[in-house]
Amino acid sequence: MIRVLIVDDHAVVRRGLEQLIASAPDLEIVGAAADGEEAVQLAAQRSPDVILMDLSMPLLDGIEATRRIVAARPEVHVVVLTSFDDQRRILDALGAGATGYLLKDAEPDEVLAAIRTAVEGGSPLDPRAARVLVDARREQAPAAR
Amino acid sequence: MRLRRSKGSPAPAVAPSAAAAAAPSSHAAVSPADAAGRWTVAQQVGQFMLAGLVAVLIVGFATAIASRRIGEREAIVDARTTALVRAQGVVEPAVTDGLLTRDPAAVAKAVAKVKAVVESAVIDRSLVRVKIWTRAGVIVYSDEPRLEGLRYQLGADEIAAIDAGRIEADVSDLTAPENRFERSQGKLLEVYLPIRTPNGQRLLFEAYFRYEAVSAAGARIWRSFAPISLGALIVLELIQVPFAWSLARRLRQRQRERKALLRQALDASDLERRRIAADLHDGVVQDLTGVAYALTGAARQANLPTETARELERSATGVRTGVKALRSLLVEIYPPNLAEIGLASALTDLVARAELRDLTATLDTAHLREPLPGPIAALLYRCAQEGLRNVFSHSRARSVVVRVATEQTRAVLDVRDDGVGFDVGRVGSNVARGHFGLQGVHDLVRAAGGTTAVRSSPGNGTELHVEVPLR
Repeated sequence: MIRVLIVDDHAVVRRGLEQLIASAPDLEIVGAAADGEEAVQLAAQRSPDVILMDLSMPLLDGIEATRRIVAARPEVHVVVLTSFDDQRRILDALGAGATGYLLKDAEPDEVLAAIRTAVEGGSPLDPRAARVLVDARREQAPAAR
Repeated sequence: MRLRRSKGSPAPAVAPSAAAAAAPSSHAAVSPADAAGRWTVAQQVGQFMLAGLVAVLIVGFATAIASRRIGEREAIVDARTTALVRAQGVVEPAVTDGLLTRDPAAVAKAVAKVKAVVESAVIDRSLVRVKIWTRAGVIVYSDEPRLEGLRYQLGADEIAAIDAGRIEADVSDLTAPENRFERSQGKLLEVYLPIRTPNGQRLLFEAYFRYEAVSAAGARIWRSFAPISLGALIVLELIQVPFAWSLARRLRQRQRERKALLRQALDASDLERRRIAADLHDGVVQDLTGVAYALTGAARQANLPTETARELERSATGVRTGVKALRSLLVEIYPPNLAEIGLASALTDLVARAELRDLTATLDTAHLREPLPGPIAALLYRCAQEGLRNVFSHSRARSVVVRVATEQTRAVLDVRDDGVGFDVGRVGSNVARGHFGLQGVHDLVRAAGGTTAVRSSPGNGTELHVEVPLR
């Protein structure tokens, strides 16, 4: 069973994700946090394999929470699940240690597949996030072309 | 989606940050605008003074002409008085009937007598020649002896003067043969009047005055009038300059205030849109997202009737479709916070969304040096947005290139597609702009001192070119 922690400040979203994940036999919900601080706490207590992380939250945002969680437990896979597709957030989140980046309008099966991909050592990326990464890499090393 | 509002903070928290972001940009815009304003004011006052100068010149010219006329009239009156006094007071008592005899000795004696008074009391610096004529046109005396005894046809005026006893004055006709010895004197004024011999014979006394005296009188009058009339005008204008200056400045100020108000209104509408979008995003969109996941989860529960499961799945799909539509609408109405993320980043996101429309979109910011002044970044973003919107709706293009670059004194934006294009020459640049919904952008760019151009030809795509000065 893959242990999943849900982090989102919207109760309706948390409940929806809980129901979706519960429908998958290989996934197990170990907790649900409503803000970044709670996420850091639960990540330490419940030892999840994958964290579905929202970005914009009160108290502590998803990027900072990701940074702290990954620093404390590098083996945890943080998959961002957010509505933001702007370049800067994508780069910031991946820079903070997230291994995946999905948008909230992803199909339910994409979300479930992303959780499994992360555990298997892959990086589930929304195509837009992948493109941002590629562009950023190109800008860094234009001579490599 | 770029909704930057933190969910935990209350809505008003958006306003200060946006205001703070706007403040430095509007401040940066003030100083060059100020300099331009001062220049315009100086220009307007300069125009006013120039108009005043023209008025001074016109009045000066008119005064000069009027002075000359008055001066001439005065000088002619003077000349007539002088001629009358000298003819009747000095020459007439010296004239004898000997002038009219055929006896040379008597004539010589009479001429000598006249000559003595003429040379001592008539000729002077301004009265340079005297001729005495008989009614028949014979010159019986002149201080120019070569004329004596010669006969010329007298003019009607001169005969009338003799017969009616009038004083006449006229500019001398120096081409006339009887005036050939006066040609070296320049322009002359001749005054003639009758005098009588002791026997009552009428003779015509003709005196020639230098015209210089007449001109000098005009100049003298001009000199006495000009300082008053021109001086008054100049003083009047100088007094008005400060008023003109303050008026022009006030007008300029009013203009600037109106512009600022307009900008505030635009900023406020941006702010409002941002607030509405943030509220929708943080509320409805999240709820619907959660509901869609929950519905899918519910549909996959074990031991549900197949029909129910299918219905739940369909509902989930329907909700997700709605969420997507709502999100793209929010992106449309939501202006990015350029001060926070920068123009290049905002354009990256804008162009990325174009790719979702089956269009290969490329952004070239290799020669863009940020940060740009806030208003210019906002303007370029709006131009790019409008340009892309046109590409979507009119061009049927397969690819589009957005290029933004800064040069030394200006920023340049190009939106170039490979679509169907159209004949700019045929429909005209203005119509092209109107057709492409770019009039608004064009007006904004012009207000910022820049230019827009639409280049296109059928089959060769369309290019929107925008240039904005950086200072």
